[in-house]
Amino acid sequence: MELDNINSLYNDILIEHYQRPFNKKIIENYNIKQEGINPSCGDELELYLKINNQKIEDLSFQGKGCSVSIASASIMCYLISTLKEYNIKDIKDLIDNIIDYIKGKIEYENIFNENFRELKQEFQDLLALKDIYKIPVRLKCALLGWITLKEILEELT
Amino acid sequence: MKKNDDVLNNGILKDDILTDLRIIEKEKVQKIRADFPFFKNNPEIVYLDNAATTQKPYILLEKEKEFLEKYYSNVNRSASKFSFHTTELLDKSRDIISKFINSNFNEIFFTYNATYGLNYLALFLAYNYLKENDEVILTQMEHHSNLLPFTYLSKIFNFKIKIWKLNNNLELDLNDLEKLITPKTKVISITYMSNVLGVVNNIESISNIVKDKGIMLLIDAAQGIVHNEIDTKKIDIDFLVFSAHKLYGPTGLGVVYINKKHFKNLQTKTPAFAGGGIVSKVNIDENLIDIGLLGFPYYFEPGTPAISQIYSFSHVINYLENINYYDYKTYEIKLTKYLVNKLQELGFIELYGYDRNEVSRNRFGIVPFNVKNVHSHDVSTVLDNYGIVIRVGHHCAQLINKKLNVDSTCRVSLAFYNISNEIDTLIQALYQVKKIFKL
Ligand SMILES: Cc1ncc(COP(=O)(O)O)c(C=O)c1O
Repeated sequence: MELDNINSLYNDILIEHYQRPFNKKIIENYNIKQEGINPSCGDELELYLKINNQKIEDLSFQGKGCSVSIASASIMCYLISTLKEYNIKDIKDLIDNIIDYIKGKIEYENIFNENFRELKQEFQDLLALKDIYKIPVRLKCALLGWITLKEILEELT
Repeated sequence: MKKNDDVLNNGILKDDILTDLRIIEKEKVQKIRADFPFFKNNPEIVYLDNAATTQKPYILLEKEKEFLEKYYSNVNRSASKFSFHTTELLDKSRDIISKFINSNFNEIFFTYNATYGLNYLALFLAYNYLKENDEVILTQMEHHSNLLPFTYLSKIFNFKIKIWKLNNNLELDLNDLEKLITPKTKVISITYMSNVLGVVNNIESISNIVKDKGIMLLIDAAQGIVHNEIDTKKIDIDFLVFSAHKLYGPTGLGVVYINKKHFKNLQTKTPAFAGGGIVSKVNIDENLIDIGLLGFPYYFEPGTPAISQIYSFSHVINYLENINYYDYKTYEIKLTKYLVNKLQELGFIELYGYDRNEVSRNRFGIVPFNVKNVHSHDVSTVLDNYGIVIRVGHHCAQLINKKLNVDSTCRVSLAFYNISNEIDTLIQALYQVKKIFKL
């Protein structure tokens, strides 16, 4: 698949998250830390989560890498941090859908099942990752943070 | 007044380079490009990744085809007339290739690439020469293919690795070498030209320093030979290695030069790889190992060699000789100057080495840089969108990154067939990087 416009990959939302990432720091009192590495291009990411009573109370990340991996992790932390009331089992299902969306398998609208209908408006930063799948060498960068988080939640549920 | 200075320092000088380049391109380089089918078939691609591998001239394809259609058989073994003729062709090819570095027929052997050549030599030296606590000097600019074989073997054979560090000009200072050498130093293995920095090492001076100390000098010429003439009669080198594919030749073929002074007592030494084709007699039983090894070069070439590739590569060498290949070095240097000037003008580029050193015969052809505050993989993706092929990452020479204090760099590597237009395209694409990342 050809990318018709390089700006659809490097869109304003993505650049904004890259240059001013959300929660790119180590949060206090985290109780889970997990590393993710993308060996093909050397991106490195560390996720920090504070999970209590099956709820994500806070999350953040540290790492170095290209704009796609940093922006995607920032978008993730930004969006997931709004789900403090949700159970991690539901969040894991949502993340599965988001991963499919980033891979170009499902449309944005189809990410949100009944539990998450109301998020369709609020999660629009995900649209920044809409075209990544058209550049296979960069897809892994976009998925790094999400897959790392998914692994953590799978262990807990 | 200020304006005049600018004109003198930038305007006129740079325009001069461009005018110069355009003349050489018109008279010579365009003809060269016509010898390489890649350019006709890929008019949209700007190929600036020549340090990774180079494009192939028609002559390579023609000769490979000719050989496989007319002369193909195995070599060195059969008694048939036909096979004997093929062996003769192979010998002739070996002769042509050996002359390219001014060595003799009997001083080169073939492997699969530079990496296999370096592994062979490291193993051969470890088996036969290096003793416990001996020292091998490598450098901070080495490619992993030179760095890792010795490093792994040092753990098994208990010799020591010493790293000759880069100075702040990102060069290797000869004074530092003299300080590293001790009576225990047995081997120095060093690249002729850095595949990241474009720096050409002064192997003649290095050779003069180590010659009388009984230290063996191994040259990784994988990049060096692509941009610099090598004369093994003029410079005293013990071993030298290069890959055919980086010199417009076929993949699957490496060349190793061994100075003939090391042929003495070859039979008493252990070959690094053994197998068919390297022995005159074999008798093995419970209490008996009686093996007679052949002489050079067969000693070093177990198994069937890359016959058709050796043949076609010799014709690529003929082609390079016919066009006086190394005369293009001055063109490559000018093209590098043009590139570096343009990159500097952009104002958002961090250059490594070229920021504080002129382009010269000792630093050209390969230019590492980063776009400030943009990751090299992002730069690559934007350039890719414009059909520009460069290399990003650590370039298999990670010790350099430590010195540069970066995780990765972008690398433009030029060949004699590149033209100023291609550099202009690169510069335009870099403006797009600036725009996208709001620099
Ligand atoms: C300086 C240097 N040495 C060794 C090598 C290894 O060459 P090859 O991959 O052909 O074995 C390279 C190629 O990248 C190189 O640049």
